Amino acid sequence: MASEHPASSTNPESADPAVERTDPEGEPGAAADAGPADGTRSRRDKAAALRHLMATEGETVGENTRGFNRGTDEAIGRLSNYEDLRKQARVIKEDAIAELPDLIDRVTEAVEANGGSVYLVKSKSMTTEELECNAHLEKEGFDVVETDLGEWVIQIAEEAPSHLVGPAIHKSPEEIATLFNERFNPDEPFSGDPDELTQFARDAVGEHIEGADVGMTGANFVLAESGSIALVTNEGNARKTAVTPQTHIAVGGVEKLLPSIRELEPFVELIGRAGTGQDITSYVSLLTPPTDSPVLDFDAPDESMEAGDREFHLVLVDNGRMAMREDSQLRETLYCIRCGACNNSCANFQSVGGHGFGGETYTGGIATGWETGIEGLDSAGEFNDLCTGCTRCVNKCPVKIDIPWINTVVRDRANRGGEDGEFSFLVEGLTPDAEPGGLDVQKRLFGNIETLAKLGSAAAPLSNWITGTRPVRAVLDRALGVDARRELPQWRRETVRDWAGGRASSADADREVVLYPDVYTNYAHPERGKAAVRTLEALGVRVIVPDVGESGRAPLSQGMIATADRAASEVYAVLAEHVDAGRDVVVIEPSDLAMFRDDYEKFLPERSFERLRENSYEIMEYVYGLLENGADRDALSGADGAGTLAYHSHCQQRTLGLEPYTTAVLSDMGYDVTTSDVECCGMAGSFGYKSEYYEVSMDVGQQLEAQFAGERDDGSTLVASGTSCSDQLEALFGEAPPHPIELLDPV
Amino acid sequence: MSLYPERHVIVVAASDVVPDMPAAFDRLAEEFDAGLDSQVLATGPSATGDMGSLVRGVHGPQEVHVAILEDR
Repeated sequence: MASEHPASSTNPESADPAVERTDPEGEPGAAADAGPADGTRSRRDKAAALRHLMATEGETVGENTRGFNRGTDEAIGRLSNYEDLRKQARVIKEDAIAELPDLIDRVTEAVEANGGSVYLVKSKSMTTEELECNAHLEKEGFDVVETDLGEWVIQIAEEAPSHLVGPAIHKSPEEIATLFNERFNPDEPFSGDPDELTQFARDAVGEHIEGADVGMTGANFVLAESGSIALVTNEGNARKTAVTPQTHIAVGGVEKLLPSIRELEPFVELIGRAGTGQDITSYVSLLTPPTDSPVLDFDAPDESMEAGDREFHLVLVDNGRMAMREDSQLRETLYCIRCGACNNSCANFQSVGGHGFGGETYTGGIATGWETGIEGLDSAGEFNDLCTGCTRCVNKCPVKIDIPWINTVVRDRANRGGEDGEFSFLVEGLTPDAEPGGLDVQKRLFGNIETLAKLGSAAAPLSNWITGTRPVRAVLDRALGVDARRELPQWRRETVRDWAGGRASSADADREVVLYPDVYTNYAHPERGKAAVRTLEALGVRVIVPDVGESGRAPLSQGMIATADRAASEVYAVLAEHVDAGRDVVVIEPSDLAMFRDDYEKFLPERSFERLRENSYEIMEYVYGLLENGADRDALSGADGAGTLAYHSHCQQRTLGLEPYTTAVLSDMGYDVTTSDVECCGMAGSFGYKSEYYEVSMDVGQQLEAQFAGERDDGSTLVASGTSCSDQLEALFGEAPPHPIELLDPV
Repeated sequence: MSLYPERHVIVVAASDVVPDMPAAFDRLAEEFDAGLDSQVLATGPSATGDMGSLVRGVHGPQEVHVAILEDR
């Protein structure tokens, strides 16, 4: 590229602004002060940075991501074979990554046979080149222009992208107009009309493409057999950039390789639907350069053209990826096709955007995997805690990546890389966990919530009075990062286990179950547990409330995997005997049920996991089954029908597909039920209690508040399945909504 | 090239219309095998949402018309 002429750079617009993005990274921009900083930043600084982002970018990010998210729901809904396509795509990616070295050899052979060249960039020292290609080229005297309009906007603004497929998703038309007015000083200032802005940008960028000597693109997929690249765009910029200049350079991560055109189909079917809600993007360009098509001379358009002497260079970037391939936990990150679904479906992302929930290059939940593999743990550790493990991205990922698990693993690794904290002594002794000494005290506190609950319950109500005082709350906030603006759980002296142990069980029951006494039900909300016991008994079921510990959900959410693993084994040891005795396991708290149904797969032998999974039920799911099998609904309260309900299901409950059981039972009992469709209440276990995230939590909660405000005014009763959701609704509306089971309670 | 004009008119033989994506990919695979390995799936006008709302006509055409010929 011995030229001082403009080069033109592009990036497949709707799917891949990450590796192939060639915009200047990390330049100081409007949002730079809110981006990742050093790891020692205090909780207060982090809260301030997130507050700033929510104030400046949150509204635009929220509107755009929620729009995409609704669109993807609809597009997926129109697709009858969505699950089949996901499975196919997953298997193809698993195989391709498994045979990656072979695919690299094959694509090299094919591209060279076509007349192009292939470069495999291996060295870790190429990291900066990967991420700062534009800056590097500009230093060498090249004029580099982004051709995707979103990329172009952030290139002009000197900002980092805020989203995997919509790099300028944080900017409103008015802000773009202001930017253009400042930069281009037009005779007639731009007003913020999207048509006008697009027309201007199209013309300005188009000129550069016509005059460019080199076109640089990414590649959404690289086909080894034919040496082809697939570019997925809506604007048409990628193909224009690829085929207009004489020389085409395509830069892609090695994980983009697929064997051949035959494996591409499920990805083309999925990428637009999952990313932006389009059945297919405007263009899917399959290019096998160099072709011998003539190069256009825009200065002499009428001259007869001859077959062009075109050049093609394919740059395959390793830069940590081959090591990720060897990392059993990070490996599935390489299956990612950068559709952005995990950005859009994430409630926290909708509030803070990719400048908060993102690292050096990547954004959103999957960014944790990419940043850990490519930049290192420090980059990922800066934003990884914004993943609450709510699992709303899981069913949206077109290649079935367990994104919450990757976040948990990386959190665990970050925990183990930490230093001894200043306030560790405050939680020593509270913490019978299996974690290293350097674990952050806040994580250690929330990860050991069961110990705290036991102590709090034993000393209640005194413990509640003490922790409710202002000086204690101030210490909790400063030392442990428990936000003073949150109401703390009120521990109860009599637990569900105490209560159940002291009462006579119905003798002539048809069947027996064990009711799992989760920490929150047992120690803080025993009324839910009592209602569950009485309801099951009224439906002819004998209920045992066993002495069993916390499921491991609390430590898992803090990245304390060893502690969660130990809890899983202990809980299973208790429950297995009941399952063997023919008793089903009934669970009130959805996040604990999700452990039994999903997360325990990581911790238990396969047979044990399957046995518990198959015999575990959410309480309303179980009631539904009993009623369907002839149990007497007249034995329950509310059977006459009483009013309207506004029901908020729990995120993990929805991912498991269990929301319909609750709404069906409540409707069956005569209630008129409205449901929320926000992805999360914002509380998400400990997240909403944490000082640095309290405001994000409340911002997320405001979406739920907006949905239910009208219902509330019309006299609907609020109902929620999760303890967290219930606490959050109480914070938003001033009173704690009951669990649905309490509406059925025959007492 | 189909990207430069503002209007793109596509004339297609009815016999070249395929029912769905699997059929389209079967055909693409055949053509790749025959060496026709640069192909574009174009589904409408070029579009962007990058300026705040959906705008048609960016680096590609603003209008796309498809004429299907049945008498072949």
